[in-house]
Amino acid sequence: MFENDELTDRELDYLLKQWHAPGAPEGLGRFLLGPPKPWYSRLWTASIRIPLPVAAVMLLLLGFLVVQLRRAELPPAAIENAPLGFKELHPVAEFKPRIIRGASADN
Amino acid sequence: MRPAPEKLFDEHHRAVFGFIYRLTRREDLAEDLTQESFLAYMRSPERFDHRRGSVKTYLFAIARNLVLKQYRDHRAEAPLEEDRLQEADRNFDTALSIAVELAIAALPHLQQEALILFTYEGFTLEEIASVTGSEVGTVKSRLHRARENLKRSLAPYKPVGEPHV
Repeated sequence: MFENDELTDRELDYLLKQWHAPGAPEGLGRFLLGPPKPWYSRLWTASIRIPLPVAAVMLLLLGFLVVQLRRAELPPAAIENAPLGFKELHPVAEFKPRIIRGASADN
Repeated sequence: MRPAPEKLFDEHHRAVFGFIYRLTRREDLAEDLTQESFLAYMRSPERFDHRRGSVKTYLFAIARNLVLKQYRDHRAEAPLEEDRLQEADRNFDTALSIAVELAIAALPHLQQEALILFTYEGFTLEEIASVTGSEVGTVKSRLHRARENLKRSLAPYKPVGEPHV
């Protein structure tokens, strides 16, 4: 079945592949990492890496969307009656007080 | 950036176990030393310097040192060749596997580890040099000598016809 000549590289590679090592035991990491956790527990600790430019663009888009959504939600009157700032206030040129009497004043 | 221990373990524990098993040929020892290798990393992750190599080669270097320490402290505990030969006699299917195992075990240790890392773990010469702290040329020479030795010692098992590698 076998000849006693020296092996070629190809034959040696073939023979080396015949040595099979056993697989690592299943519970090997239990001592180091503790018992296995359910998959959903990873949801609380999982993290993803995002490149900074992508994160910045996403933040800008998110901000833009929030502003657009808030504008869409407000009725047009609410936008017109939006509270004034100090820039919009001017001193009164002519003071004309009006006295409004209530219904009980006529009696 | 250092990888998380869980991720590191998931990715490399099978290979580290296989490497230690092939060097020691004992499953119980391979299990213990694999755990110790990862424990050593987890205790002092700051010792890993990515400029000196990948985390994979760093882990294998730890495993290698633990095996060398084991050799020094408990040299007599390797499986007896007679036991393995008897097993080979009992089971024809594993005879060739045991013959290869014994031929590799008979190699000098430095040749053994170079051959195992290259053949079974798929390491490059540069990676083996990083694990063993040697020059690439030295690794190449060890690998060449290991293969030449095996070509002679495994000659009785020369396959008939063209092997399908």
